[in-house]
Amino acid sequence: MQVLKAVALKKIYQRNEIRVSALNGIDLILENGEFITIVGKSGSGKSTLLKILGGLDIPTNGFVEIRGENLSNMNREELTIFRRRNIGFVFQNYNLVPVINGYENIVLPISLENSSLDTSLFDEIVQTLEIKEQLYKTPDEMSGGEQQRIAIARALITKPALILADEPTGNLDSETSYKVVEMIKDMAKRFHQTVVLVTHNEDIAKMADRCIQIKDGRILE
Amino acid sequence: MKKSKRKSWIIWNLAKESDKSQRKSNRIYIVAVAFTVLLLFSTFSIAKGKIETDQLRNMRKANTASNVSFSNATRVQYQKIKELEFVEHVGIEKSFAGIYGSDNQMLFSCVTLDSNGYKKMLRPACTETVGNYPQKNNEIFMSKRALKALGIDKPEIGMKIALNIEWFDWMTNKEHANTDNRASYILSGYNTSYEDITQKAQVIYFSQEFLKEHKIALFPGKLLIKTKYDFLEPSYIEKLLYQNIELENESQQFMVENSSSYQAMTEFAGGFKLVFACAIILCVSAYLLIYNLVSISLNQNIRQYGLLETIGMTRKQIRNMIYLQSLRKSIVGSVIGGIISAFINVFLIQTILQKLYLNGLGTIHKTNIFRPVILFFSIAFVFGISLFSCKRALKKLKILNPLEAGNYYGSDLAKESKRTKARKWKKQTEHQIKKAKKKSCKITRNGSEISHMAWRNMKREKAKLTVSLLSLLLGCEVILGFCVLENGTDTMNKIRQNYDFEIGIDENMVNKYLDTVKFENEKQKKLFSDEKLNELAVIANVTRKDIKISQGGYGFIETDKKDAFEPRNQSLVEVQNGNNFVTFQIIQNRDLKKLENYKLEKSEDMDLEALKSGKGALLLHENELSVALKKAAKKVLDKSFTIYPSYVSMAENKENTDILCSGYLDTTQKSFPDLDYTYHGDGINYLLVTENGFKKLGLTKQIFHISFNVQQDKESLVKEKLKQWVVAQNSGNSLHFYIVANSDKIVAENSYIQASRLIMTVLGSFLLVMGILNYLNTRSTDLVTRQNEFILLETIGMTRKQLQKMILLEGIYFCALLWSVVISVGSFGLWIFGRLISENISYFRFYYPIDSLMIMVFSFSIICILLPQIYFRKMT
Repeated sequence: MQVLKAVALKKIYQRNEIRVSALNGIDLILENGEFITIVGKSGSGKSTLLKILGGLDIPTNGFVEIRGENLSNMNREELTIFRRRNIGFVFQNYNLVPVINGYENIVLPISLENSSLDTSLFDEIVQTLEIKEQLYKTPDEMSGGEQQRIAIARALITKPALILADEPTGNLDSETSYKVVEMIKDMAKRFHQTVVLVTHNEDIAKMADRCIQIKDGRILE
Repeated sequence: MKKSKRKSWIIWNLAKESDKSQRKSNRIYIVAVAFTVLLLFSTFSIAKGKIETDQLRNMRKANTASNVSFSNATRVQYQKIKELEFVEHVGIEKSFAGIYGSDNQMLFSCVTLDSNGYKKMLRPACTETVGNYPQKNNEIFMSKRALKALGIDKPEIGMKIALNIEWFDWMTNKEHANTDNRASYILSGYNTSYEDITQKAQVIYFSQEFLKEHKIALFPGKLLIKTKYDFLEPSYIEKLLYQNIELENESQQFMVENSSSYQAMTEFAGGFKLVFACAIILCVSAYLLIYNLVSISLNQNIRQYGLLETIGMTRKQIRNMIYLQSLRKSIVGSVIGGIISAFINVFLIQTILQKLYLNGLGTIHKTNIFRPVILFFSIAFVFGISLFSCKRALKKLKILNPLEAGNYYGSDLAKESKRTKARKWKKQTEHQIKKAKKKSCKITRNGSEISHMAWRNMKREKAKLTVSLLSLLLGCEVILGFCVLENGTDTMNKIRQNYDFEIGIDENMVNKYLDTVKFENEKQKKLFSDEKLNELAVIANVTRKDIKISQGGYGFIETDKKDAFEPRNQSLVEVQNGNNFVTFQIIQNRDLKKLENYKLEKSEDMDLEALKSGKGALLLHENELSVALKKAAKKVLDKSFTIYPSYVSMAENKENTDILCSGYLDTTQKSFPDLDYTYHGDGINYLLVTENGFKKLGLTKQIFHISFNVQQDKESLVKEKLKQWVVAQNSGNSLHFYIVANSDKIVAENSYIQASRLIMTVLGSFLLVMGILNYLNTRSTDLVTRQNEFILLETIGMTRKQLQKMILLEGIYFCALLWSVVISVGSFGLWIFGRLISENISYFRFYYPIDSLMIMVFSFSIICILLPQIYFRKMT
């Protein structure tokens, strides 16, 4: 089943007279449960592609459909709500909300939705990611790896169709990086979620079902 | 270019370019600096201006710049006093003669002043001086008012004025023959004076040559002394003078009044201590504002500084760059603030102070208001706190290494270093986990995550929260404090203590009457009869019960007897046969109670038992006893006064009654109780007795005056009728009634009250604006700093509405916290403030400024909740 369809994506950044073409016509189709990595050099357009796929940026040309919903047809509020329900994000800089503890960070998307927590799913995620002891600490009381695992838990808690991870291991050591990616892969497989992971690390890239190379805003065949 | 010069140029250039990229925050900083300079300069200028205006006012009302007088001074004493360190000027006043009317009342007093007495004491207290002080023996100097009393409306220098002077040497109690054959005197000068002359004769000034011509020595004379230090309490000045100057005889006494500036300061804010405290609060508010701005600015640039240090700029160079940036902005802000301040001071404040405070009491000079020294210190202060704030904020930077600084994203630096290190690797206990779990689950179950986050965000950076709260609390407290001060020291309170109307018989007329019956052996008639009292009750539509009647009687006392009256007798400078009158007032029970408390508090020498039983009487005076006489007064406690109902009975030594002396009371003492008596003025023999005591004296019971309140809506009608009644009574009658309507006093004080309100409100508003500025700047910077966080939240799924709700709640929580602190701690502070003022100002009344507080809560809440919302919308 198709989860994501991106057609002829182009993104041009313009500042005064300077034009930068970040994406030059990208087509992408993702199936349910796929684990793909996007690799490329710095400035190749990987992060831009990820942002557009997640509805965080608007393409200059082209469109993105997730579960049959065209993101271009949504206003800002609809997009935010759609993201909340269907997309999970994991960032390089963990990006936890600093004023609330690990538990509250994880369940934040559910709280915003005002829906009830699936406690069995929650327990499973916590056990798998080994974050029980970090649940009631604030982010400044956790190490980098712990924070990243909390962020992953947050991305998984709403059982989104799509998980987008932008260099999630960028600030971690190699051992932790490997563990984190394994966890993402394992959880995704269990809940039939599609994962798109951007990385410049080739070893990590090889862990995926499919590896897409980007260069100068285009997918290399 | 030399190395060092190149480095300096680079730093200068970096500072300049860095500023360019932060135009908005620079503008805020410059505005804040300008505002702070304006606030400090205006506040201190207004305060100084008001105090100086009040000082002028007091000086002009007193008709002298001196605050101490010393009667019967010798030349030796004069020389010694001149040499005292704390004495600024000493002048000599010699009163040697009088000009009397057909009814033997003194119309003019003849006085000579020396050079200091005129230049340093009289001239500063008057205005529109034309001509000079008399130098020749036929020259005189008078006020316009005195000239008008002689029928001269348009005086001219050199005009001839006929005077018939009668001589009397007060010191030797002898009459001089009138040796002055001069037909007329030449007017050498005149001025405009503002003294209240209803209680004394006008003054005509003569030259020292005139005294020499008539062989009248300048000494012994009255010394007019102006002390140097205005903040010294009168009692302390008195103590110093008695310590340094030996008295020649028992009658010599230093009469120390509040200096005009001390009085002005006390009336302004309850004393120097309070003024000093207010000044400190102002400076602290200014410091908090600037410090906050500097902190925020540095916080925003930490990443840049981290980067600069990473690429090789030393901390010293970074510090110099920061100081340069601060200096540039401070200079611009100070110049702007200085120009606006000067403009406001010269064109606005002077006009307000003159028109509203000196209304009818002359004018003030521009130089009295605009003080460049205050402007200089305001600017220097702002510069100082800017640099100091930079230094403090830079200290925080030290704890981060270049890489940490480069990745800094805006949380409290102190917290990051201490708390993280302390708790990062610490395992939570079971109990802690359970507690946190319970709380977190409850929050997420209730759907109150947003309000929970708002609350946590608000108190996230405790240092900034504290500074914002403190700054606003100070602003609010000062405004509320000004309201308490303004409402409490409102001259209306002084006036409101009085009844709506007071009607009595003019004192001069009473003295005249007593003079006429002096040699008649008949009983005194009732001057204010019961029939008249009833008439007034009908007009005012009040019952007898509602009328407060001050009663007593007039008697005679032998002055030569060595009895309880002797100390009083010694204190009277102008001893003459005519001063055998004595007034007895009947004291009420509530006043007896006040005296009991006064006795307990001050351990005064009083025999209240004798007073209460009707056997004794208390003698009142206005600090008219010298130190020696005060001691003598203590010794005559329980000795007798011998009282006669008439002068004839006194001469024949019959029908006398002895009454014990229950004590001498100085009514000018700071904590003297607020008794209900009609006594006023020095030189009057006034005693308090109970009803029982009065009965024993056998004197005719007289009504001194009556006081009553009327229905407020009928006040003006009643006033009109009462005035008509008084006019009718006074026409063709030797006894003159007077009427005092409280509403007339209120009208007279109105302009003064309005001016006070205006100035206090402006000052308080300045401070509150400072506090709001501080808060808004902190909030807006906080919102900018948290932009990444907002993006994250939106990414996770928080809609803009939810984000706005969170920001709105942050504002609401802050306001709730602020108002709870203002109402709890702030109210306590206001109460203490009120207590401090009431110690210095007797008519102060504490009114809790509930309406000002409500207005502040409402308007400030709207600003502080809505403005960040608007800013956030604009930002996103």
